[in-house]
Amino acid sequence: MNLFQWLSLSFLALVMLWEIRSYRRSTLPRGFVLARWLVWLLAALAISDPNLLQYVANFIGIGRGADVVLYCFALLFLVVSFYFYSRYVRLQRQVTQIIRHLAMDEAERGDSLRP
Amino acid sequence: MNATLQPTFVQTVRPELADDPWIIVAAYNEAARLGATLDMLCRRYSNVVVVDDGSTDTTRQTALHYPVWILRHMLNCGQGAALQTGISFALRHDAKNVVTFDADGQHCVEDIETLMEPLRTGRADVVLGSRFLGRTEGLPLGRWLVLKLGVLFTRLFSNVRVTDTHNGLRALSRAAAGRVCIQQNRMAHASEILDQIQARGLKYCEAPVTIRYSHATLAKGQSSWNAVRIVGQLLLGRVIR
Repeated sequence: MNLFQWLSLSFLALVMLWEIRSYRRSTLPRGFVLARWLVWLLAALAISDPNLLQYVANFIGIGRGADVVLYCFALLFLVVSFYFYSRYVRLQRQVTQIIRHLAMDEAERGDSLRP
Repeated sequence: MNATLQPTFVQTVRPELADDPWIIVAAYNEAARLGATLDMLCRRYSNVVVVDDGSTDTTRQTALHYPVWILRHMLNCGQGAALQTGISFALRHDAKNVVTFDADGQHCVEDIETLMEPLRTGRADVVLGSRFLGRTEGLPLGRWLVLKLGVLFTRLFSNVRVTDTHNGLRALSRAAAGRVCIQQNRMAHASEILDQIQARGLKYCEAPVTIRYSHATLAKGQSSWNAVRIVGQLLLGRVIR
């Protein structure tokens, strides 16, 4: 193993240990936590054995293992961006409803300042 | 307040006009122009709602000089959100008809009766003001081009044949106002309303109105480049429910 593999695998091992430790306390859905743990595991496998990624690349018809990672990240970026934009719009609508509700409940009648 | 703006208001007399429309005025930092607009409106209409959309100037204080309802958004949400707030408030107060009217003095009060006529005769549920059927004063060429592109876009994407898409002067019957639900907080609401008119099968027509542009309204109004953002908001809004 080279230096990069030592460093990155050590880091990923710590992250996975931290995930296990905080699993019980987590308020996130269990499926989400497990999916995140799986991502770390796959990253660790890909770093520890680069030939594994190359095998996957050849299997699905992409030339290089690094390209598989690149394409996956590009697709993931689109999905995540869309997901967060949807969440943002829904949150904005909820905030607007609260503001609207307050505005209607606290409606004032003008003319009070008319001399 | 400027002494020349002391109006003689109609107040709540005129019981013969029980179907008087509720006029919704969305205002954001319009203290300089709102007084003149309300002065004109309050002379003829008794049900005026000003929605102060989180202004940081004295918009609210200006409105308080007039016999109008004042609703205040604690945060700036956008014109679409402000109009929906005003419409919901008017419906809560049993409004029979609702008219949306810009705060910056671009619209003519006389045009409201032109919009109301098809509603009163039952010819339409929604009447859309059109500056291209009516008249414009001081419309810059660039804005004219953007508005025409907007008309084309609306025909292609909403399948609504109108001559003016982003005109803030429009009238809705109570039934139509209850069925239209503006979710586009910002400027894309105008296209969204057209979308909903089409989707809900509401009867609509256009009426000629006059739009007066001035240096002040052009300076504060939306830039022509905002059209791109509006298209983006509208398309994303269709995907996200």
